[in-house]
Amino acid sequence: MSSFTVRSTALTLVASFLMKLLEQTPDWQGPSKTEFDLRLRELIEKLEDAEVRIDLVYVAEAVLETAAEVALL
Amino acid sequence: MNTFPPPAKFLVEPYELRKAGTILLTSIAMIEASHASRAGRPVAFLYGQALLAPLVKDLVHLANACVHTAGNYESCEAALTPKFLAGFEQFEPLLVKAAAAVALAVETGLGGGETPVVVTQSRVTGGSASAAAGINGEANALSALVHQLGATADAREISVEVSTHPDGRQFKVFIPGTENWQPLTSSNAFDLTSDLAAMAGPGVAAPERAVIKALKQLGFGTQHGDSILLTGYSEGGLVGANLIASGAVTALGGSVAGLVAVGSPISSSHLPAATRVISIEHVNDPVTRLDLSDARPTNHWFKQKLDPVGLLGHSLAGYRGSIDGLGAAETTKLSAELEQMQKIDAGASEAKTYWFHVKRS
Repeated sequence: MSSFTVRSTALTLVASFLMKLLEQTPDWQGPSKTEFDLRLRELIEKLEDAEVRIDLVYVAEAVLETAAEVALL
Repeated sequence: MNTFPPPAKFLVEPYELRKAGTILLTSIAMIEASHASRAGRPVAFLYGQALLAPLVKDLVHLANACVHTAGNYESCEAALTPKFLAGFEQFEPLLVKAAAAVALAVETGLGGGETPVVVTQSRVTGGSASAAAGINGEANALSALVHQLGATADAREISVEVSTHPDGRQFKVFIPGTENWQPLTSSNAFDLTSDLAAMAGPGVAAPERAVIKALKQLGFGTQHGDSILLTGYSEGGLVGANLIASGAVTALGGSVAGLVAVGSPISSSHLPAATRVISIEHVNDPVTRLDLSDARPTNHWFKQKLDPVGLLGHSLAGYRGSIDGLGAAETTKLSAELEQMQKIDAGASEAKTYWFHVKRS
C-alpha cells in the first residue's frame, strides 16, 4: 500500500506547488492574471479529481487481483 | 457587439514568468513520474493516462506561454541593452542551483538528505554495445549506446563496459535516470534527493559517488592510456557532467574521452573546454530545460535537437525510437562525433560489461 500513498503524495505535492505559484505572483495584474489564475485553479481541481478517480480504480484493481489470487488457491 | 476579450497585458517581472514556467515544468515531470509508477496496474494506468493527458497538455501550454513571454521580454531588453541577455543567462542557472541546494537542505532538516552508498558488482557479461551496431556511420552507433543505456535502466543498475586496445583501455559508463520520485530520501540512490543534489552542483549526489566506487573496483586509471566515456539518461547525464566538472574521474588517473547525455539538463554545466559532449534533446522535453539554459558552452559541445515525440518527450523509449529513426545525414554526423570519443581499432580485445547494484546505506 506504500506505493499507493506515494502516488497520492506526488499529485498532492503537484497541486500544492501550483497553488503556491498562484500565491507567489503578486505583481501579476490585469486580465491575463485572471485568465491564468482561473485556468490554473481549474486544472488543480481537475488534477485532484483525477487523483481520487485513479486511486479508486487502482484500489479496485488491487482488490480484484487479490480476490483472483485467493480464488486460485 | 464585440465579444472578443480585451488584449492581455502583463505587469510582471520576467523572472516571475520564468519561475512560473519552471514550477509548471517540474510539476509536469512529477505527474509523469507518478503516473509511470502505475504501470504495474494496467487498468489504473490506462485510465490515468486518459484522465491526465489533457491536463498535462494544458500545463505544457501554460508553461510554454510563460517561458515564451519571458523570452520575448528578454529579447527586447537585449536589443536595448546588449549586455543584458548574457548577464541574465549567466545568472539564471545560479538561481536554479541555489534553489536545489535550499531544497536539499530542507530535506536534510526533515531527516532525509544525501547518504553514503553501497556499490556491489552483480554480474559480468560479454560483448560490446558499440560493436553490436557497427561504426563509422555504417549503422547508428549512438543507437547502440542508447540501447545499452536502456538495458542498464531496466536492470536498475549502472554498467561499465571495458575494452582493451593497443593504446590503452576504454571504460564506457552507463548511468540511468531518476527511478524514485518520493519526496523524501529512499533506499534507491537514483531518487529525488540525488536529483536535487546533482542540480545543486558536483560532488554531492549519491550516483556520482557510486560511479567513482565502481570505477575504483575496476581499477580505472591504474594503467597507462585508460580513458572513459560517460553515457547518461536524464539525471544520469547530469551525473556524468558533474563527474567531469568536479575532476573526480581524472583524479583516478585516467582521461575523459567524452560525455553522451540523453534528455539531461546539462547546458549550464561548467566542463573543461576540451571535453567532447553530445547532448540529445527532444524539443518538447521539459527536463532538458530545468537548468534554464539552452547554451552550447564550447566548440566541442554537439547538441542534437530531435523532433517532438509524445506529450512530454522525456521517456527513454521515445529517445531510443527517435535515435533509431535518425536520417542518414544526422547519423553520419553523430557517428563522426562519437568516433572522436570511442577507441575503435581492429586490435581491441573482446569487451566485458560489469553491472553494479547501487543502494543507499
